[in-house]
Amino acid sequence: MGLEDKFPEILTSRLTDLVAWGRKNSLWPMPLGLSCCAIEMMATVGPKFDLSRFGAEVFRFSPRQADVMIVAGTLTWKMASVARRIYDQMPDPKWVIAMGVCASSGGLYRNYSVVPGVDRIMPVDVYTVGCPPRPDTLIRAVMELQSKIEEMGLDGRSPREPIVLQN
Amino acid sequence: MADHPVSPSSSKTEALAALVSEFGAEHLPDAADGIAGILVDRDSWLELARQLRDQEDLRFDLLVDVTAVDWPDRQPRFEVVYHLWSLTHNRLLRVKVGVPEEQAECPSVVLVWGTANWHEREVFDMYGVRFAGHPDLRRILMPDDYPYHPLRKDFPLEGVDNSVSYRNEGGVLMTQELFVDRPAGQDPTPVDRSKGDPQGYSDGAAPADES
Repeated sequence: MGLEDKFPEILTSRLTDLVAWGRKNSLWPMPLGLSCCAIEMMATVGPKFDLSRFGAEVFRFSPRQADVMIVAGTLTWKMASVARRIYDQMPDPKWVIAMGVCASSGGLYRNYSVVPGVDRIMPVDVYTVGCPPRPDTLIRAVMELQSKIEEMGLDGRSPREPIVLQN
Repeated sequence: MADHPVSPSSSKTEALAALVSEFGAEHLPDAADGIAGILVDRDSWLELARQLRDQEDLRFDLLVDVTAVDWPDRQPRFEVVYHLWSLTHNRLLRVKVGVPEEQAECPSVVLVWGTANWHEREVFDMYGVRFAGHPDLRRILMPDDYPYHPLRKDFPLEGVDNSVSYRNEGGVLMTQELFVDRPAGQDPTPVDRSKGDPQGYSDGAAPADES
């Protein structure tokens, strides 16, 4: 942002913290519901699991208003270019959660028509286990993402080592 | 099947036998499902199809499906399989047409049964059999620029990671640099290549070591 150069370090480090705090507690997900994982994703937002406790309940159906894409389900090669276009339409900084084994590696459905992991076409921040993952797992993925966002700088381009959730 | 109240009656009628001998086709041995089958030469198939639909004693007016079988060790390699149903006489018939690999082409029956349109596109998509005379022979399930015919037996079961070949060939998907924020040295999740890619299906990710 350039602000770092204009203020004393003590001030900008607090500013970084403030921005990170704001970012991590107001994630707006873009639901890319491709198969059964999407049902669990919906349950996650519902009253029982209530993703709003973590500030990520505002699902936007326009990628231009979202900053975390939840790829929930099996991505096919035919869908791949569309998914990539949606990702490109999201404003920076943006993150991707690969929800379930299909999005992470092709999973059960890895065959001629399925992309063997959405990391083939976009950078992934959190990989999630499960087929489909329980809502708890998705909540944990969001929490892991929050801890990652916390460590990011103002430009949102800090280390992007992916987090792999394990059982 | 025999106990079913509306089970189709046998298709082995005199009209069919006459047609089979007229076109030089042959009867197939009885199948387990009880559906009579004939093997047809592909050059005579289109005219035979018209006769099957139009002859009063046959009236196979419904094309149930079109599919294909890949026999890698046989000649001809492909068999295009049609299932016909005569609603008038309640009879089922299976027609197989052999298609060699070198000239994988079969006459289209879209003009006889309109149903064949999408079915033949699917067979083309999955097996690479071209249908001569088809009005719109494009892929139907896979992306238009997909490079393979995935239901052929020599295609690997787990698929091919064609993100690389897409990028190389400037396909729809890879028109831009994709792996933006990936840290140096970090690759996408690896595909198990312990069994290797069959010949002709390498996606370029594992270059052949010819030193």
